Amino acid sequence: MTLEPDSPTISEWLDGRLSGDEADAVAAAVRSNPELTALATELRRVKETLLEAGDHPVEASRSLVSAVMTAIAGEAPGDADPFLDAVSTQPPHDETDAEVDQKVDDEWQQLEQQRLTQERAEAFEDEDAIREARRLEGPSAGSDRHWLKPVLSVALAAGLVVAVLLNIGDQSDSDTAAPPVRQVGEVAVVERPQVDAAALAERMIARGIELTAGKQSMGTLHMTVHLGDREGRRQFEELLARSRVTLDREETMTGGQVERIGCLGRAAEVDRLLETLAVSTGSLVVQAGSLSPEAIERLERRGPVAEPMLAAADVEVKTATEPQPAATAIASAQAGAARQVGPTAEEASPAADAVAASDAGLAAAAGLPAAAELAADAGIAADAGKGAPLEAVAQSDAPQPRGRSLAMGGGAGGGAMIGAMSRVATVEPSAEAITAPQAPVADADAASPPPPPQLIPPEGFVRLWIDIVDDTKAPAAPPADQPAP
Amino acid sequence: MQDSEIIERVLAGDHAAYATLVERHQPQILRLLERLVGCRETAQDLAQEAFIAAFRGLKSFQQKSSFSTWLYRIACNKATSAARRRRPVPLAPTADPVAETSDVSTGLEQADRRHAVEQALAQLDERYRAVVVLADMEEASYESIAGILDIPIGTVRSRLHRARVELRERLKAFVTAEASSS
Repeated sequence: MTLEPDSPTISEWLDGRLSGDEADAVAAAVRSNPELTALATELRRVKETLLEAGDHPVEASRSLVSAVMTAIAGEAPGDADPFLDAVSTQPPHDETDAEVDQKVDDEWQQLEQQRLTQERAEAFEDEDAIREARRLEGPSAGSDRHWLKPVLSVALAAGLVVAVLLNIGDQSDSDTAAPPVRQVGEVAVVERPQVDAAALAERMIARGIELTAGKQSMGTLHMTVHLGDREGRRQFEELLARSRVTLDREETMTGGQVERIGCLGRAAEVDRLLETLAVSTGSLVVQAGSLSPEAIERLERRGPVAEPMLAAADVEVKTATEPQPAATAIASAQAGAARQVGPTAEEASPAADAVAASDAGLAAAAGLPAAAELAADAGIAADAGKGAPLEAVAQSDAPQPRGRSLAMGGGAGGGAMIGAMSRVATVEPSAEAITAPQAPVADADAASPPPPPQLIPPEGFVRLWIDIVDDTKAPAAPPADQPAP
Repeated sequence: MQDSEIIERVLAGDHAAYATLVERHQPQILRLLERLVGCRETAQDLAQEAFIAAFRGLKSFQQKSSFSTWLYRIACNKATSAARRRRPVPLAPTADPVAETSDVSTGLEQADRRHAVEQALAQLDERYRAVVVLADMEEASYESIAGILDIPIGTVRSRLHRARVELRERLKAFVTAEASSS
């Protein structure tokens, strides 16, 4: 006899319901199969366990008797069906699945029919309206605008030709002015005979200034934005989303102190973004002098809103397009910074004391004690501030060919942001640049040894650093110890 | 006095005699309902409903079966209807008279086992539960079960076996341990 575990015969055998022969056959089958043996044993245990569990007295309930007798008091025994209860006598709300499906289907069909009818009606209505409009326009109405097509096509073609020509012009300028760009770690500097780029880079790194190199994409600018907190990042990302500058990469540094966003865009677009930063955010002001002449023009056209920047940008506007000897640049820059921090600092505007004055003022204002000095060292304009828009600018000792050498941000509207932007541009070698004395930097260092950088802004402030490398010009030849980009 | 005699008296107008029937059958009905619905209070309510329904339909009782079987059937019907209205609530463990014996550990073990059985029964499909309760706890015969539940004997066989196999899985800790120790 073959038995399967799910055969009820096993239970019948356990309950003693099988006749002698049947019982013997099942017993033999169970004994011969270990699985069935285990099953039978356990089912027997189940049976015994249930019996034991049910073997407890249930006390009679007097209350039940009285409750029943009270309920039937005054009634006579009837012939009502005792198997009907409240549930079974209720209206059949529990319809069968088929009935429910049919109802849903009917309802859907009805709704679909209504929708189709409505759509048809609307379509015919539109068609009538179109016919009516055409009738009112008359037979020549459609052909009156045919002349637009060729005119627009010609205009488009002309625009393309102009754009291509302009681009070629830019490229040729770039090619003639391509200086070597050298990358040292994360720092890219413009290589000049008078400056030890590696040493300068080391100093910049030591002081917490990071510059990021861009190496490709002729005619583009790579910009790295260092953001001190989420609010700054949010603001910048909003602007970025509206601009044509694209997000290139994102980095979050351990500890969450600084987040860096790499951006890439054409120079004009980057300038436009900087201009937007300057004007629209209300919490970051970009020094007008750091912008291109075109950007400055645009700012000027904006009127009063740009006045604070333009007012402080006289030095930069003047020097931005012309390479400046380092001494003049630093002196003017520190004077500019000093004007922002008060008469005490202004008194210290001579070049030798400018850094110290700047340090004192900026440190007090922004908690970035060495910002101006660092900027000056690195060929960076620096600015920091809070309260009203602040455009203290340290002008680079490096010549900045297109006026977009450096940009700085400052706080505004309650000091929501302290910013520092820097831009290192590839520069066209010039006599002034090559022979520019480096003494002011050295003097500044001697007069006021830079304290350790404090890059963590005070609580409640947003810090923004933007480092820009101008890739408008491709590197002429990489140094021997560096791989070709 | 036999059930049939009391029924005749009730039908004759001695309504108070029905109290004797209620008192006589209520322990079994309460116990059955308790096992079927898993809740003592619900079992009380359903037992009350069952006795009232039996009184109101007493004229239709043709005494082809015993009154107890008929009453069981009414009770099972009430339990099934109640189970459709709501999910069974497992019985809370209560003080067990066995646990008050000198052998405390044995008492606790039995209480645990009873609670486990109640839980396992509560999780069982109501159709299987009725059959296995009647068969293994009330020790009703297959024929009685078929009569009470109004189902064929073959269905009783299959449901009972299926119920036991499921309970075997749910009570594995008890049945396998016992099996191994035996």
